[in-house]
Amino acid sequence: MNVISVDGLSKSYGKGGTRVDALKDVSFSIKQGEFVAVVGASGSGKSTLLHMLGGLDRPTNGYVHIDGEDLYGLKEKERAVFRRRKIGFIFQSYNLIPVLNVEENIQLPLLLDHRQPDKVFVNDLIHTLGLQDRRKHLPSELSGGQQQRVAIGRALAYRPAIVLADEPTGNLDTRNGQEVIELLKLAVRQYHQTVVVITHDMNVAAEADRVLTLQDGLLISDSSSVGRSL
Amino acid sequence: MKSYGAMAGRYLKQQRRKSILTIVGILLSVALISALGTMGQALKDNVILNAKYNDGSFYFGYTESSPDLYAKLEKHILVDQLGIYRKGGEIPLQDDYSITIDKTDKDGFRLLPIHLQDGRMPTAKDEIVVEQWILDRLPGTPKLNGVAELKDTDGTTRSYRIVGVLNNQQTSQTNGSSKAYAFSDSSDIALDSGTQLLLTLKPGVDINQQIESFKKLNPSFFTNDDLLIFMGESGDSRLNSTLMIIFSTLVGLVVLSTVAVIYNAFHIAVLERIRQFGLLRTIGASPGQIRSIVFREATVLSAIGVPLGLLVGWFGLWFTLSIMTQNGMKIMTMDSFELTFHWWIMGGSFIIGFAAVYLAAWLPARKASSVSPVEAVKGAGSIVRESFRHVRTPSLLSLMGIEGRMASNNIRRNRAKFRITTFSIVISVTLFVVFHYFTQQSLTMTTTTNENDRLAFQLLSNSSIEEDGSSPQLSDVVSDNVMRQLGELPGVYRVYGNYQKLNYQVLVPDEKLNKDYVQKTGNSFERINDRNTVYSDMYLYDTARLKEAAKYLQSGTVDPMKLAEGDGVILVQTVKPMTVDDKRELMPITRYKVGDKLTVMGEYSASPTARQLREVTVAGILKQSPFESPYQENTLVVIATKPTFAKLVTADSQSVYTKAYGTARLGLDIAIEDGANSGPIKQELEQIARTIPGSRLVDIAAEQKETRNYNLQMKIFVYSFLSIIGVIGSLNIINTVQTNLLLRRKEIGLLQAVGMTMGQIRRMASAEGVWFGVIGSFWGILLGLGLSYFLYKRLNYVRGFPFDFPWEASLIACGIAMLVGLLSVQTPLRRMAKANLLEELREEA
Amino acid sequence: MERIEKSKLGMARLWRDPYIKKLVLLLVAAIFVAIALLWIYGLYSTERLKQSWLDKESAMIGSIASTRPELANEWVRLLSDSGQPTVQELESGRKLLEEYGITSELEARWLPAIEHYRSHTLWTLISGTVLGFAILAYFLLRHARRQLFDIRNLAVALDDTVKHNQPMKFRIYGEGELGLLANGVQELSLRLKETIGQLNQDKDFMKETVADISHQLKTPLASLMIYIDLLREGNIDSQHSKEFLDTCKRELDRMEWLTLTLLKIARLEADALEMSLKSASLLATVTSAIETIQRLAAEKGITIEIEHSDESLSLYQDSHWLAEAIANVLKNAVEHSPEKSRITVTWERTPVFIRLRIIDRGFGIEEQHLPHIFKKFYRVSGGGHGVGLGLPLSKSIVERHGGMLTAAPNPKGGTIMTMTLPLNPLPIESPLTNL
Repeated sequence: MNVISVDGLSKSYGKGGTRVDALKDVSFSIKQGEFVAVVGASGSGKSTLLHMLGGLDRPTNGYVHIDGEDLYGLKEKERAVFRRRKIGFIFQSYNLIPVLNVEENIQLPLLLDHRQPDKVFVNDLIHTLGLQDRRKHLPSELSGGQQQRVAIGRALAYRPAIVLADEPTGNLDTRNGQEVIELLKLAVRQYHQTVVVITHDMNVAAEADRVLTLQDGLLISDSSSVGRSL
Repeated sequence: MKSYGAMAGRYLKQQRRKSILTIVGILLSVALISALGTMGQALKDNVILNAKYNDGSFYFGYTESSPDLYAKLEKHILVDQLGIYRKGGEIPLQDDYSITIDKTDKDGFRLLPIHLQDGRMPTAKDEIVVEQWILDRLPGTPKLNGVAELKDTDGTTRSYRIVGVLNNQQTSQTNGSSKAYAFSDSSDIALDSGTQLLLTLKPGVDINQQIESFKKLNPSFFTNDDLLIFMGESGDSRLNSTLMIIFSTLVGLVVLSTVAVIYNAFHIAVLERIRQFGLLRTIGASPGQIRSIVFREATVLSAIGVPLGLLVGWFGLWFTLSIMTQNGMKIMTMDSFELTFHWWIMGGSFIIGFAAVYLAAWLPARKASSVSPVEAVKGAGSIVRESFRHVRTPSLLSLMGIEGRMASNNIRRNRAKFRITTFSIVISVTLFVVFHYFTQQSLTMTTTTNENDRLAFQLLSNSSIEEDGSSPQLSDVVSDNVMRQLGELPGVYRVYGNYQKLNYQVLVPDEKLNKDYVQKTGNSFERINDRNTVYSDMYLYDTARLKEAAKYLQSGTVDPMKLAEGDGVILVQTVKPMTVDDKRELMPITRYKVGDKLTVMGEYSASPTARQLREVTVAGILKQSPFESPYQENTLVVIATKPTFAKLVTADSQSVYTKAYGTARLGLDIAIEDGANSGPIKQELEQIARTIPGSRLVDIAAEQKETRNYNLQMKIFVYSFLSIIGVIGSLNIINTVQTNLLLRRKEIGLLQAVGMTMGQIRRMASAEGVWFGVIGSFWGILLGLGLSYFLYKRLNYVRGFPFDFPWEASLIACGIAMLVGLLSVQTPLRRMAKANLLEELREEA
Repeated sequence: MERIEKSKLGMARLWRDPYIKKLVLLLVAAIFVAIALLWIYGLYSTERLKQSWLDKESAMIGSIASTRPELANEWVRLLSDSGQPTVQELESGRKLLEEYGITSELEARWLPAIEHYRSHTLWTLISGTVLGFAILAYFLLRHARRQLFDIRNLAVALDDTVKHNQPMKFRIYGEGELGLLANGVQELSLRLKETIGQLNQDKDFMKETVADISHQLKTPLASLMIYIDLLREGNIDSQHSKEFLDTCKRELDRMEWLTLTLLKIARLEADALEMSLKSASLLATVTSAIETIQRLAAEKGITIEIEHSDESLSLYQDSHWLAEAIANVLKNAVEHSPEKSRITVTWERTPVFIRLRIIDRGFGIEEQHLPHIFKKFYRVSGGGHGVGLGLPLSKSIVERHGGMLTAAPNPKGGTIMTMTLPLNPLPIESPLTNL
């Protein structure tokens, strides 16, 4: 079953002489439960692709279907609701809400949907993430690895179908980076999620089921990883 | 946390300093609005009270009455109070004194400006109230509640019981004729052309709409103009709408500045968190949710700020006024100033406060909700595209070296931020300039003040002069010594001598005459020797008076020594004539300058000889007369010192009187300190008066006190207005300039990293702060000037006067803006200097 | 699972519902319009009443003034007198009027001015009210229709999903109760689909296992059959028969191990086996695993050592099963190691995981085999003599502990097997998906 299908996706910025084509007619699909890495040099369009997959930015051309839904056929507000229910984001710079503590940051997507978080679930999640002692701490009081774990917790709280990670290990040392990837992989298995990771770290890419390579906005290779997998 | 909305509270709690600053902004704005409302209302009440005090509290009147008219008015469905007033004849008493007994009925006592000092108003036919000073001159020198036998004008002798004593009036004392009022009613007073009818309408009746229908009842109809104008019910609907425009402009300006302050606070708070909002969007917050977070912040802030503002506004005012009352500055004639609590003002301020907050939060909320999530996660930092204009005019700041150039770049780099910052300074400066202008003007409009207001006592002598011209030159009635003694009495402000006044004509050449005056008033002057004859009042001022005159100096000098040399005089050429369209307007009648020669003619002659003409030199020009009435209608006021005056008098061969009076001190004017006890001074003066035959002491201390108090109170109102506006404006500037700097923490860290010293950064930031002050002041003054002129145009309709450029306000505003700009950058800089530069750099944008 | 707040439907929650929001706005607008209209009507009708009343009064005054002017004056005075009439005045007036039949009981229609006012007011108010209600009803019905339309679409889509196993066609991504319902329904349909998929997968897995077992048992069974036939024929010498019997025994042992292991894997993967997770020392588990493999290692002269590890570390585990998993990995390592080499067991604790590594210095596993070594019966060509079930069993056990088992080449030669065991496993979702 294809969770994500991208069809003829193009995105360009600017006009005339300053026009930059970030993505050129990219098409692929991702099955449920796949752990996909997107690699490419900086400026190759991989971040743009991720934004498109997450419904953050409008494509110039083409479609993105997630769970069978045409993402850009939805209204702005519907897309916001869609995003909070179906997509979890993890960023290189963690991007936690600085005024909320660990627990609240994790619960935020649920709260945005006016749901009461299940205490037990959230509690277990925090334990798994090794954050039980930091529960009431603000992001500024955490180390990078801890912040990224909070971000993972936030992405997992709603158990979205898709987790999109933009250089999740970029700001972390190897040890913490490895842990983040391992957590993501566990999540894929446990929650039948689909994970798309943008990275330029070949070690991370090696962990993926599949590697998509972008160059200058074009998808130049799509291969099963030669890495060891589950 | 129960809901995402709690984030708003979290943010406010974490940014406590900024939240408090915002709350203080809201608080002050609401306090300002409520205080403005309360004071405006109190001011209106006071002005109305003052108008009632001076002119009576009736709305309409008829100078002639008839039984028919009286019957109609009495039964009229809209009439509330109806008073009858009949002027009585003068009843002579001993020593040239007299008394006039006017008759009026119960409502009349309420409607007429009759002011009791003691006792009560008459309620029966044989009861009477008289002025206090006349008591001793009445037959039998009765006291309060005593009986006086008076011979009426028709010859019958009647006995009146004196049930009340009235405040002393200057005019009646000077004339030696006291006012008295006796009770009467419609059955007793002849309702003929000698009787006036006065009335008020029932509360809630639209007064100005009734003017026409009441006018139809009798042609002798008149209105109590001043009262109706202040009530906003003048028959002239244009006047009413003019007043409306003026007040809505002022209220609008205050509301606008409130909105601006709050808008700024929110805008900056949102700009700072653009990234956060973008992040919220990535995790699925809808634009509506972002908006609701911002609005929730607004609600929390206003829920705290608005009620507090109302409290502060009310109690602040109450506290200030009660302190002033305690310190002896009695507000109005009341011993304790009751600040009336108006629900509509509080409710209105409440609504305006909340509305302003939501209005101010609206744009930032929209901005926050429209943040592109992509821009936020890209982490590029600033979302606002910074536009560099490459072609640019060189800025003055560039002269200050590298720091100045950096500062000028910083200021111009971000248009949006630049606009917000300047806008808030502009609005503060504008507010200050306009309010300063308006309050000053309304002060001069509602209170025409000069040194006359301070006069509490006058000592007059009626020394007679032989008609045959043989009488010798008079000597001073009071010696210099006595003058000095009087001056040293506690509570005496100053003692002035009174001298004779000459009514010489001034021959004004055409080029010195103000053409506008001729055009606007339609007056023309008799031409003698190809010059225009303008009448003048020529006064002799002693040193004490000249000292006071210095306050009104426009140009030149009032130094008595300099005046004495070369026949120098001081000129007041501003007059307040009635223009052709029936309006009083201030304008100069002539255009003399310091150093010009003034040709005066002592005695009228159609073709004067050279001997009859004198020349004096204009040594100083005053804005208005320091004494007597501040403005004449069509007369120049010429003030001379004793030597000059003496020369003029001796040269005047024609008039016996003039010669005889010479430069003798004919009487005294005594000005007292505010709040001084006039009792002992009066006793002292009475003693002196007894030693001078034919002298008369005029006691106007009570009146003087009330006038002074009224003026003082108006000034208090005005300056409290201005200080609140100054505070709110400064706060606004502090807020914007500080946040503007704090938002650039990272950038400043970077500058430090590339080797800028903290001192250089301080110079750069200070230059920015000051420059913001300069630019803000420039536009603010320009805008303020425009608005002031707009207000002037309206005010000019109410009462004519020339447009004074609000220099003073502009300079103050400009200075304060720059100073605040300079000072407000210092705290954040100190904080930054302490912070670790690496931390700043690491901190994500 | 987070909840949609149970029975509570507080005001704030109610207000979030877009339909309620619209309804409230509609009603508020209706109230304001009603107030405005009534206000205007009130002013208008008072003006009319005043006019007709004044007309009446003026007519009276006019007619009285022509005959009795002094009475007219008195009349005017009374007219403008705003004070309350005294009881006496009222009483005497009423008596007088009563004589002419004018009492308060008199029907309004006999008083023309009032009758006029009454009929006018009545008709205006009735028609206004009816019109107002009609408009309001129209909007309310339209509003209700829109909501019902959404619900109906949802029902149709749900029906299609259930009957024809299609994905949900009608989706609402909105806030409010309907949005939540739609989301729940959609989630349900996705889960259903997932579960069906999983069931099919399980079926395939079953088929595969049966095929595996039959395939794996076929060969040894055939050879056993032959041996037994040969032995039964009896023409084998004692030395050979002993050899045959040994071979049979070995084959039977192998078959027993094979079936047992396969059963274990099947039970593990089918969740039919309860793990009893208890906090226990990792060192003890590892030691017991090493003990079971010690003999095999000793045969090859291989030493197994524990290196640089926190020996006091404890972990939620079923120590029996985890020991088996470790033992299997060790066994694999022993099989792939040359004689007299070293195998190192080491573990470390990270904030989230315990990472246990088993490092051998053997021949290593070639790159192309790495993705497959955890598959059942996959055997790296030639090497070893296992059946390829040990590692899959280990993997299943580790996964049941919420962890992962991965293999990577050791840069110094050999292989590193890593068991990543979470200190606290991820919370398990509703059992539906874990069938």
